[in-house]
Amino acid sequence: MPDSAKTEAPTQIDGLLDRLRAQVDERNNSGQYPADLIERLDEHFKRMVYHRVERDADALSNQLESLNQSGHFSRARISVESGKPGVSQVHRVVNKTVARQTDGVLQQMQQFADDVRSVLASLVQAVHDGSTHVHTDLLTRIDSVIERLDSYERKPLNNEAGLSDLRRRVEQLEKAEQDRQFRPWFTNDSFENAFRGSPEELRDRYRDLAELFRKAPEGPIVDMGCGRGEFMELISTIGRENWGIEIDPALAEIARDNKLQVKVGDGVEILRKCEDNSLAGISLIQVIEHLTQQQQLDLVEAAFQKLKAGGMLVIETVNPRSLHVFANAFYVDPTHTRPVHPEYLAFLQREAGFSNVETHWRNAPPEEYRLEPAGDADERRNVDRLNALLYSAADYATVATK
Amino acid sequence: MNFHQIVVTAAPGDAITNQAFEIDALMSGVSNSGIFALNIHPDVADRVQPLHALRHSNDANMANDLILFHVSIGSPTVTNFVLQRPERLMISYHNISPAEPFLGFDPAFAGLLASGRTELASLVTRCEFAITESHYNAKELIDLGFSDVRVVPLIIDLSALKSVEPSEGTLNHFRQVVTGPVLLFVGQLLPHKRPDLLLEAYYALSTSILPEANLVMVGAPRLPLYRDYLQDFIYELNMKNAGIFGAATDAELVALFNVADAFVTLSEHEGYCVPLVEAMGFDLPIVARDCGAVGETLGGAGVLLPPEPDPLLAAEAMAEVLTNDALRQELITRGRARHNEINPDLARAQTLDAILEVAAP
Repeated sequence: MPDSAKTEAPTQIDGLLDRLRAQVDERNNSGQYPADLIERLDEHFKRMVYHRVERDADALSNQLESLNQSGHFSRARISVESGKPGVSQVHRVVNKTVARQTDGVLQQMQQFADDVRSVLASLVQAVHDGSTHVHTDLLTRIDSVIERLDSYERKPLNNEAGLSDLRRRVEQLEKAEQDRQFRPWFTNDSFENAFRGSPEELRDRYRDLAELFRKAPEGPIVDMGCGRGEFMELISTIGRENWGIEIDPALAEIARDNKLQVKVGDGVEILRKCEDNSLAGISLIQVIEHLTQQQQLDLVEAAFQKLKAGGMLVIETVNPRSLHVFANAFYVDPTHTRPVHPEYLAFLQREAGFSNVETHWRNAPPEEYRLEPAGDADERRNVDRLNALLYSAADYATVATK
Repeated sequence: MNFHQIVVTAAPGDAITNQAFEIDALMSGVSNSGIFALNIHPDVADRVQPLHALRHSNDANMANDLILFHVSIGSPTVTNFVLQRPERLMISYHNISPAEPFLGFDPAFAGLLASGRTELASLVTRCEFAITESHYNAKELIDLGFSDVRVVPLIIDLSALKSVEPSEGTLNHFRQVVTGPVLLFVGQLLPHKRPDLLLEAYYALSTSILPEANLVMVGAPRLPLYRDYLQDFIYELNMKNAGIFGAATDAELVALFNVADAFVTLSEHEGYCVPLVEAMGFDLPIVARDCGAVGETLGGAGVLLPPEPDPLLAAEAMAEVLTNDALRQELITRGRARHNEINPDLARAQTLDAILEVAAP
């Protein structure tokens, strides 16, 4: 042991093993571990290993043993008895007369048999134990192959020209992943203030959506992506229990300062941890356009699972059918991935199992934006069609009921 | 004087090859020095020559030359070659894994290891001096009849590894996909390193104590069949957060040392244990079993479990090291101190000293 370890005044390591042993005993006694856990794990691993490794040399050992039990060659074991009168006497005389020759032959046979037994014993031993019959040349070659394989495994990509392409692609993927991660130095709060409006403005804008939850059954309403909590406050004003989910801890903190209950983390993951059929409502206000396509699928599926019968899923987002949106709101937010088409969203909800899906058009652009009708009836009709394409409602909300 | 080193296999990243390079650098200043090997990886072919390049000559001075033979595995070809050389002989013993644990998995490899021990014994009369990195190894040599044995620390210089940029891919994976603390094992996935025991301990840990803990096993799977058994064991016990990383590049290894929260090994045979030194160098608290040279490598840094296999105790120790901050801090501090003691320059001086002592006429 080095001096430094000796001279230190140990605090945590002293008696550690005894403490750990006591904890093991406690877990064993409290039934936290199944009885014979380690024995069973050992057995499990051995079963897997022996299942594949065939080692059946025991039968050979048994045969060798019975061979060793058989007696020696001997003239005494040659029968001289006969059922015919006088023949036994003849056998005895012959036996005695050629005794010298018979014994000579038997001795040679015995010697041979002993040698064969000894060789067999060595062979059976060799079959039992692979390490006793080392084939030097073969081993050297195996050794060399293993070492080479090992070297290649240590540097799997180095010598294969084709794999350098793979490495380049991995680098591209890593780069793409880095780009995808958007790390702004401004706060989400200041972004919301600049582009979405003050808390007061937001409350006015979404009061009608909150009112929809009056029809929801008993139980909590969850606002996913709740931000500073304006929508939750509206839900509270209609007297409904609620809590929110927000991925940005700073925004969640603002909501908590207003006495709102917020869980911080990934929305779908947190939703999945809720009990099935337990929620009265779920809302996503300007959130779904931030999700990937897979996350959108996962969200609708999880929402259906967690809502109780009659529970409502309200999703509000930008309306891609209004081209005005693309010149204004949508591209202001750099974290928007792509807009969600109202027909696709309604389709998703119906496919997930929601019985009733309604679409509400919201926030029509100001009247003064619209092209003014002029000219003859045909021209006016064209202007109307153009206005419909350019200046439809900027947002829409789907209200799906389970 | 000529000074030759002989290794069975020279490969990049191999600990013994690295040792030979270190010694070669030391000796090139004082003698004509070279490295020879039976198997040579293309990446080191410019620094290592094939065995047959070391020729016999009638020069009487050859008897004054010195061969340093690095012994770590059986290789009848190389041992016979060494025994027939006229030069003086010293060995550097890096231990030979025991054959028995391999019998059930790879009898041929077991035979190779068993033959390695016989070959080592055959060197006793020819070898003038033996160096080795642990007292544990030294005892084996003395028991075999080697008379002049000295323990010389291994030259472990982490500065090269520490200057490697960690793999961005590996870091990304652990930062974005993996949650919960990470236990790291580094070592060849071979039976005597007891990865099976480690998995049992991890099973107890993740089912009863710390479900969010992860286990990452890093090492070349020298026996692919054995690796398959371990993989199946992981699948069958549904250990979702345990994984076999396999062989790692330096960049991946550095990334893993960076993201890990503790290093753990339940190996029951180590002639030294370089990964322990690396773990201490990367400030990881350690849990290990007191087997082979593990205790002397750690030198009091790390939770040293008794040699008897006890996965439940190991699970408890892993949990403690991951959750008890005071213990973690103490282990990290001790590890740093121990790592600083394993000073590469001191090891270089002692190695050079030992070789020159033999080389001096």
